[in-house]
Amino acid sequence: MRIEYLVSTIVLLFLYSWLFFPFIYSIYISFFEYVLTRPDVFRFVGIKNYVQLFNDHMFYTSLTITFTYAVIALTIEFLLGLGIALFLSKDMYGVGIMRIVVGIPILLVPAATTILWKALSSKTYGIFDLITSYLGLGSLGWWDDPVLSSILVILVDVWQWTPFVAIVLLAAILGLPKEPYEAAKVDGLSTYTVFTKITLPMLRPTIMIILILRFLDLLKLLEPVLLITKGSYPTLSMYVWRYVFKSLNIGFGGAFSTIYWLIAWILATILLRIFLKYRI
Amino acid sequence: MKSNQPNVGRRKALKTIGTAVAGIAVGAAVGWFAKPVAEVYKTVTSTATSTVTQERTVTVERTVTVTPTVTQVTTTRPSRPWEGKWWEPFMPRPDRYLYPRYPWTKDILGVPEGEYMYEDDWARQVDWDKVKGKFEGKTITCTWEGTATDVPEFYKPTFEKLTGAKINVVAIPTELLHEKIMADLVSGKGEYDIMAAYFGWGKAYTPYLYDLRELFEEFGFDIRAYHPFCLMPNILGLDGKLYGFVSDADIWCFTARMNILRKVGIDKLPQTWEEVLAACEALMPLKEKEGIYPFVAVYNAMGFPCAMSFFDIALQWEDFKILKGDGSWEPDFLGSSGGGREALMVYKKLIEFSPPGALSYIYADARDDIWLPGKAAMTVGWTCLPHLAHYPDISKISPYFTDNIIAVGRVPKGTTQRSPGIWPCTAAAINKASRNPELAFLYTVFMLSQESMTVLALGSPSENHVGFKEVLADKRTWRLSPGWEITWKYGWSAAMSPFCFLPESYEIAEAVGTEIHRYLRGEITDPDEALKNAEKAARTILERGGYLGPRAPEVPPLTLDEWCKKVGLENPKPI
Repeated sequence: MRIEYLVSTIVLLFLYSWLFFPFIYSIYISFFEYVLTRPDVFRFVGIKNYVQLFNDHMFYTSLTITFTYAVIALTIEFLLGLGIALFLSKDMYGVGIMRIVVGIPILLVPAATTILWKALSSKTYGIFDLITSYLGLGSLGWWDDPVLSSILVILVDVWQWTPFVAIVLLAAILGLPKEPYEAAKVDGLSTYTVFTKITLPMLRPTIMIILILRFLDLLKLLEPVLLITKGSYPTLSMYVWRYVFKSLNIGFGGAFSTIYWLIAWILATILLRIFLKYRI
Repeated sequence: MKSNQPNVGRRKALKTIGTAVAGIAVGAAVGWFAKPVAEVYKTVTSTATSTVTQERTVTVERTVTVTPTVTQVTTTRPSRPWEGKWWEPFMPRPDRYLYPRYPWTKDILGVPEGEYMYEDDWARQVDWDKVKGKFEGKTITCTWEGTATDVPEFYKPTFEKLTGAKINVVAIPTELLHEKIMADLVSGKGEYDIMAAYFGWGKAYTPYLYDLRELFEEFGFDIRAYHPFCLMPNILGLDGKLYGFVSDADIWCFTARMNILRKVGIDKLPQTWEEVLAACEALMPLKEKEGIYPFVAVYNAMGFPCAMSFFDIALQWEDFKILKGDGSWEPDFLGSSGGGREALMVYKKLIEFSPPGALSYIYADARDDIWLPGKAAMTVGWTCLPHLAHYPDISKISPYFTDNIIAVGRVPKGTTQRSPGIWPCTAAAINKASRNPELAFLYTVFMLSQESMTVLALGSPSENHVGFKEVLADKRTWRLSPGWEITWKYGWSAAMSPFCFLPESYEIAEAVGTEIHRYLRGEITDPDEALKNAEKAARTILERGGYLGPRAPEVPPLTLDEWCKKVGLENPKPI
């Protein structure tokens, strides 16, 4: 019993110090004027930081950008990931190696991945511009153009995280019971029907978890936005980062983080409710 | 048949994996025994120099590696107080530090071997006999902007030999410089003893920085050796204290490749923004034909970079003063006759004439990817742009070994012509929480005094501006760094942003730059709307800081003339 208490205490202390305390403190500080460049000033301002946030058009811009990126990237990642998982679930020659290779992008540091893609899309030495020039499209400004830079940001995320979706789905597919498939074979069902009526429904819990995890992860997309566009088209996390770490406006950043957390929490709750309602 | 296939495949796969593992092992072994990059670089350098002149190579090797044989280096100079001292061979001098790296600079600079350039170099005024032994085994950490760490690295081995101290150099990426420095300063941990920081944001740092006046007095250094345009934002601030050494100071200048301009019939360096834009139009056919962009705007990323570039262009309009000019801190980015609007429109056109990707440039990428490889005909920015263009080993447009001609002039004119560009000056400051402030001070003196800074500036790809009057006025150095002539001649007309005097400077620049950038990238089409938004954003921060209320502090003088009068310094006007 004593060891149990000890272990629990350690865990609680860890959670308190690394999660609860910063979280509560950021909410607390959001009601204060606290800018690190003026550390002598620390005064209660009520909801002023929140009012300023909701009056800031960049908040809405970054919200729109974040959701656009999240929805597009998640859709592509899911469809591609599912396709890869189905492909890799087949018993074929070299599939073991392929399963390992496909997971490599996950092992890379997101910043390094972004730099790699940035190099590929460079105006001066990137292969993308070489191809477009060869095709007669001329040199494209991947980093500046709102559409092209967004495509690039999404591409970076898709390249890095589709393998995650694929691997988790693959593990789920390989763990599916064989009996329904044998019954389907006996009944002579088509491949399409087997996929839509057996595989997909049985994968639903995994799909739901993947969607929630990836969606929440995409809400905090930062590295590609920061490194490719230098923040020209800021996501929510990019904007919080700018306020907290660049402008050192901790109070305002606290308010922004709180709202940011609320958005993520509401969305996660909605997704979980759907998950539970349809018993998937 | 089928049952046999997997076995064969497995064997093959194992063989492949085995080969790969063996390959990796062999590769790792080769890598392990191979020379480190630094050693290879040194070997290559020494081999290259030895093929040029054997006699010089001996001196070079001794000097660079700082072996005891260095003491045998003799000079042809007449006797100086520092000569004959054990520490004399450590002192920075062109033949010891510059010529070995860039042998061709010797002929252009014209300083003979064994000669110093400046008599009253601060580093040679230090009594190193007194210092000897005092700092043996002590360590200081010097943090510098990521791309420019060759500055503290340059003299580090020499200084370590000279004092027995150890210098740690920490590189911080430009994008993170401000927050990293602020975090260390606010925490009071004193992890960074010396820090290079943009003193345009310096008012936020000053409460945490060492006041160097006492040490300057102790060593007999005269602060008036600096050009006042460097002192105005970087050193004195408003409280009369001395916070740092100038490490990077210049005036914006305009640079053009006249051989390219002549191809379209332009013989003279454009003098006004109108002329620059007209030249850009004329150069457009060359873009299609030769892939040379008419212009490259070098500092345009969202936030501080594009705000700074905008202000520097806009200051060329008479009615643009950043503030309303009624003695208050009320911002006015439009100007009474719309100078701000015109400047913003010029800026947008310059972006349009620049290569794709320009909107995310933070200087170094534009410099290294576009300007130095010769992909643009004109640019405006710091003096490193013309300076580095001269170095044949890093520039494809060097005038020394090609037929290219690089012309340098003042920043183009709007309705007036001021010298902007002192917003981002860099200074090396010492952390108040440093455990070894005197050692930090001495290392800063050693790397940033007149002689050492000049040698470093002429021989470094990242730091090429000096703030000393004597150095800026030195015609020998103009041949290698032509921007210094511009800095010296026009520095007297410098004007600076009032926000540099506020701790909120960086925050304001970020907010203003966000709106400017929205216009540049087309999200806002009306320049007035962008400027009004920027004003509003700046106003919010100013209001919060209490600069718009009845108890607002006085607006400091914003032109160099006014400032010099106030602090009692002479403003040198060489033209």
